[in-house]
Amino acid sequence: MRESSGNRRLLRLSLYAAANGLTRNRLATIAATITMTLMLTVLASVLVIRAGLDAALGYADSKVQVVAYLKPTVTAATAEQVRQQIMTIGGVSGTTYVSADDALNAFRKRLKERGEPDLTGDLGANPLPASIQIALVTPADTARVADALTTIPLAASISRVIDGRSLADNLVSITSALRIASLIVLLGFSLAVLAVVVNAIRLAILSRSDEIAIMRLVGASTTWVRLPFIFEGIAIGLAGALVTLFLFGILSASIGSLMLNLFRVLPIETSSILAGEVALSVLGAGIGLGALGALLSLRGRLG
Amino acid sequence: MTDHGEASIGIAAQAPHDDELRPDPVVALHGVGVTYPSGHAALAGIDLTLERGEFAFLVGPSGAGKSTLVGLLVRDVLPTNGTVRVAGYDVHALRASDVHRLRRRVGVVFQDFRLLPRRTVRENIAFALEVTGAPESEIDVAVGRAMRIVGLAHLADRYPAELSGGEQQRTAIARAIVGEPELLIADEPTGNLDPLISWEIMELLVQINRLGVTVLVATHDSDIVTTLRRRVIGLDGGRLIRDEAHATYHRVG
Repeated sequence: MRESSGNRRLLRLSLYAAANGLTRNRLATIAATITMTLMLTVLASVLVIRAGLDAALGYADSKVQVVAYLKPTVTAATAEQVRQQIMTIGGVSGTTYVSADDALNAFRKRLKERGEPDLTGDLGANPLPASIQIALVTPADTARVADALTTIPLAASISRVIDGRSLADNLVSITSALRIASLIVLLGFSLAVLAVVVNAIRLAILSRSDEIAIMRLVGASTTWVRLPFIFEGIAIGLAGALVTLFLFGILSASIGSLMLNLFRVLPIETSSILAGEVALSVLGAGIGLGALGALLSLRGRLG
Repeated sequence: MTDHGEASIGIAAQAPHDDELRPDPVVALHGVGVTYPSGHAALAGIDLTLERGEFAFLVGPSGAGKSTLVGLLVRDVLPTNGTVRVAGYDVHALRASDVHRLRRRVGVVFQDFRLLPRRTVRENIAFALEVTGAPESEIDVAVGRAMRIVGLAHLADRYPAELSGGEQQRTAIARAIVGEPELLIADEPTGNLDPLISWEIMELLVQINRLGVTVLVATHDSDIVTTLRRRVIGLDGGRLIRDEAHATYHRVG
């Protein structure tokens, strides 16, 4: 009973002391909060862009497939045999036979959708070959599956193989580079934020040195002396996170349309990204960096 | 001068003459030496005990080692050799995270008062208990009692800047005793006060001693030491040069 009452008082007085400290060192508090906001804004932007890139990669992954075009002499029955042989290749998740007629119909439909004139009627015969579209378990298997097509018994029925390996490779390398770059930027900003928070807390310790000396003199425990400063660090982090989320809330519509422009072909739901992952990450990073900065500035002090 | 009334109950309950129940001295130093990293020996070969309920003066010229000795008793300074026991704690063995336990048993008063300027008299005194996590109801009672002992009940809501030097020192004394310490150390408590007020402060310290608290006063004030005729512990050059009961400031003869 006595202990819980003491803990409540500790909490209350520490919060009171932290609020006093923050207002007493207004300039350092504002500088730390602005830096924290800047860093968290970068974090939030990186998260949104990465979510877009992930979605782009996922979408591209789903679109990456191998297409085996058949020679014009191949009958439907042979094509079916080829399809079955392809299904035995490891890494193939499905196959679809597209006849020459189906291919021509699809082509005409696409022209119509684009509002372009259909000139295929002028052709004497259907110039499009029949094909087998091969879906893959993972885009990483693209090259292996494409190579395996030349080894199936009816490989002679295949005239040409088109695979999306270059698209997949490009996407993977672009996303990897962006991930590494964003990590480096985040790390740099985090270190800057830590330095500013440490500085703000050290100023707070300096300005309250008399009070701290008296606290130690009358037997305040280390927790009592340190807790207000840890709360100050957390408050700076929380303030930075809230300002960042407020800014993102205001800008969410613009960000949404920007995302749509950036990843035009992709069905990305930006509002849910903002509401969930970004909000939690920004709050967590803000509070965590604030507390860590305070702990670092207290290390070896106020023992 | 001061308003006793029920004020004495709390501290008197510690029984000034209960030596039979708790025979350990409040302070026990054996072969204590303190040498600073510079090589300067601030204290050497100090053997000293303060029994429960004693009143003693610590005298000596500047640089004699008085401040180092006071620092040892509150573990601001660690002994280079020897053992220091204060209020039942072995100062050297005490972990840094447990130092506050010792300091809650030792009240300290300084020449410069060291009050918090943004807190009232009542809040300054309560501060010493707040940081220990004591419940509010206990704090109210203890602060009221301490204010009555030092005669400050009528100034409870004043800020330090609104008080005279003597009143500020009384506030500091009230803060030092509000936690009912076993030992009260006053380091030059009258150094900033005029002679009349100095005597009032000394009377207050004597009165607190009568309530059962062991009191050690480090001072340069020869008039006070000589007039009160209490135990005098003399230091010079970091060594204990005298320890006499009912003594004067200067050694007689």
